[in-house]
Amino acid sequence: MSSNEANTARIKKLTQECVDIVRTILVARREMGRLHDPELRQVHLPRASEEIGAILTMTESATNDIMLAAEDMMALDLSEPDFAAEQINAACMRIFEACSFQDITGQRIANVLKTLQLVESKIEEFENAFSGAASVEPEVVAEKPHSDAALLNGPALEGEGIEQDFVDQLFA
Amino acid sequence: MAVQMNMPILIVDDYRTMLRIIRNLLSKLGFTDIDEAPDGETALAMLKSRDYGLVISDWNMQPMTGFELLKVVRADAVLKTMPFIMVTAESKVENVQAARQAGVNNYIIKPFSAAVLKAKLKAVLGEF
Repeated sequence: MSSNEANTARIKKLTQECVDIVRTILVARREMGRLHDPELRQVHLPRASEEIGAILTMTESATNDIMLAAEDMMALDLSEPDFAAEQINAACMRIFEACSFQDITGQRIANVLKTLQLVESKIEEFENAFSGAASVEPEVVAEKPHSDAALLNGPALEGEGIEQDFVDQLFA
Repeated sequence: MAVQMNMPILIVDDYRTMLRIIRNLLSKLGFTDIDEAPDGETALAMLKSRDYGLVISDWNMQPMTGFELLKVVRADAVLKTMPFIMVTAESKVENVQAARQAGVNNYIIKPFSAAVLKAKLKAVLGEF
């Protein structure tokens, strides 16, 4: 083979490699487009972030309430036993009330976990799309939730839900 | 009629901490006979085996939610007049309206205070 023929063969090979790279990039772009989920970015991730913020605020507030109740008990004058007993009772009630944060934060964490699972499934789809192990399935349209299930949203974020006073008016 | 402080009360919640909180608050208010259930299905079986005077239930539970429990109770010939209070973190208007339509006697949004619980108990059961 002459050196010209060898160069031509090398150029052909390089050209073919370039074409393959471009094809791969185009396929990658197409697959990424299919995996793009605006709802995840615009709804679920910001919501998860706000849920975590609400968890921090609520745990801080509950801790503060519990410590205040304990401090009130420590500061009691025990020379008046009846009054002290009443104050201890009231402080215990405040501690019980404050402990309800665990239920609410538990529900918020469950919502954050759902978002993490969604992210995990997207990453898995992404890996599958590029590994060639499996083709990306067409996007499944989410089934509309049953009307009762649609009422299960967990704790509202600040400014979202209604207050007890509003509920009381409905039941008045 | 005066409220019987020894009437059996069933509290339903899938969070043990919340069951404990409500139990303690009810005890502090003077109620002496309190049972617990971790979900609607267990609660329903308990309601059919004992004559309770009040149900205080969470909404969001599996396998049977508090809302489903409420609807089953209201559809049951024996249980339909059972006083039923929903205590839940679900605080959307549509939740309150749906519960009201299903026949709930009162609705408490979590987190709640002992004073709110007492006021709702009075509203449903009468003065005590």
